[in-house]
Amino acid sequence: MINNRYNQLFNEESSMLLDIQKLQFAIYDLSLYLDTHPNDPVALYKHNMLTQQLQQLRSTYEERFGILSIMGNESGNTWRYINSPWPWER
Amino acid sequence: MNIINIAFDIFQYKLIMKGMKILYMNQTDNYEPLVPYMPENPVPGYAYVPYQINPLYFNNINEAFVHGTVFPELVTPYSEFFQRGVQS
Repeated sequence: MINNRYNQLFNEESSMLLDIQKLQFAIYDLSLYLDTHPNDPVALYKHNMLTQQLQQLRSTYEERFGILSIMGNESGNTWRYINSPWPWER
Repeated sequence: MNIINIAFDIFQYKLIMKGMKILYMNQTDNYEPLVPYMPENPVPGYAYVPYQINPLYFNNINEAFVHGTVFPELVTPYSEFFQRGVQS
């Protein structure tokens, strides 16, 4: 029962992290394009739209699972940053 | 001329005074690329990268993530080359 709940949470966290990565990738790709096309309104619109989505997703993730980087704002009672695995533990 | 236009003119003037390039943004919001698709006088034997103009975008972000780009025209189907083999 506890294991199932843990697995469910872990899957949710992983899928949210993957979504964040996808958004970050798209924003990065668009920003590369905007470096050479700074006055393209379509690209600017898409960049702003994805940035807003990323901001929302990041805040939702950080509320549920803790901050993504040490620059984040911990909304819980404990410092959940240390709960995530270290790079060599993944 | 409203206050926004005046503020924008002052902003542009400050940039010019600093020696910075002003990006062309038409008042009618029509997008005009900063450079042409290819140079006006291409030199034979030189390599040029065609400039992207009004590119298409993947609507689905998952698809863009899989292909490694948000622009469908930049998807290079390397796997097809592997499947059919290199032609001599």
